Amino acid sequence: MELLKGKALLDFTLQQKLVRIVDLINFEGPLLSLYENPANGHLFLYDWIDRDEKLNRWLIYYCKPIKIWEYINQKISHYDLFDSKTGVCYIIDINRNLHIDNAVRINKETLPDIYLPEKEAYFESSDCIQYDKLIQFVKSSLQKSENELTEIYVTKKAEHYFWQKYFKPFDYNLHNKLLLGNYMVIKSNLYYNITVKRRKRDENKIEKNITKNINYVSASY
Amino acid sequence: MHSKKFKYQEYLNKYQNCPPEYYQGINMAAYRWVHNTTHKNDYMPINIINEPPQRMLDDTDKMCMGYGLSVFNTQLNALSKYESLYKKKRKHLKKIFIEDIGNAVAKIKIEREDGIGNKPNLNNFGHFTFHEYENKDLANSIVCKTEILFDGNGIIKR
Repeated sequence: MELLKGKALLDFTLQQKLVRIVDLINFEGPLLSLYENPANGHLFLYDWIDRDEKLNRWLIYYCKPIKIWEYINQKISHYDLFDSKTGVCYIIDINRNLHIDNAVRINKETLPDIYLPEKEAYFESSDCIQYDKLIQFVKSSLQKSENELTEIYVTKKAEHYFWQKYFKPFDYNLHNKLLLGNYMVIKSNLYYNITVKRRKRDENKIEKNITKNINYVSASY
Repeated sequence: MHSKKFKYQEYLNKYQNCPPEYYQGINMAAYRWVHNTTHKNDYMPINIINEPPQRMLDDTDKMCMGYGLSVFNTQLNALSKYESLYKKKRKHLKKIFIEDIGNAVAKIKIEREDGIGNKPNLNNFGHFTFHEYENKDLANSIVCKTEILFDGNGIIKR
């Protein structure tokens, strides 16, 4: 097996946080398995990349639900799923007693080329024993992730309005505490009032809602 | 509950309903990936093979079906599934695949007294699992072997 250039981990703590969901590819054992961190909904893939006479080697990497959705719909390949350009990944060696013998954190760009997935390897439903479960799970992850994106979108909008209305003309140091207080009120209001569906239905309403909230907070000072 | 004793009964006893009740005696030609030259693992269930280490992530991977043999209902299906898995592998894993799984398809004449299996899964190239009875050995039922040929680029020749 290849020598790895990365940070050796004494204890691979990520493993304890993850729950195995389903194998995307399985033939007489897992080849590509999907895991979730239930605390934050983040998804990870365990990708079998090597073995010797004692150990099996797995590549572990974070993956957005949308990427997995595109992969299982054959829009992107296994290579694209890994996204080798940025970020970190992990490599673990598991022995026959299911103990982790080695764990390494490694930058994706320094991963040995031979461990990169094939560019032309596309998903086939025949490789997945629990295909229906996979579809259901990824759909639900996508929904959760869309809700998170809406929160980010709304927060960014609120930040933008604040910047335009209050922040820009004044000195930051004089107003930052005040703004932070306002911002928190707006954020909590918007979280409860604005849903993904509503954003899709009428974006203008959201704009008005943000303005209304800002005016409301502004009036209270 | 199946009345006859199976080859790996001591291990099967650890599971409930293993092999499952719906598995039945089979009388047909089946096709299995093997090595072109005789190999000790060719007719060994995956859970029994000690070397190389079994590919597992946790205990749930040690399933009842791992004590059965993987076979296919036609030679074309056996070859197609082989190709489907092989082509997606990283280059060095292609070599390991041939090393572990083999480079030939054996035609095996299975009879009811050899063991039981499930129905071929038509969504997975007619793959099914076959559990041998005690004192039976599919290696003795080979009709012929067909070597899987690769071109210079490691692509399977049809």
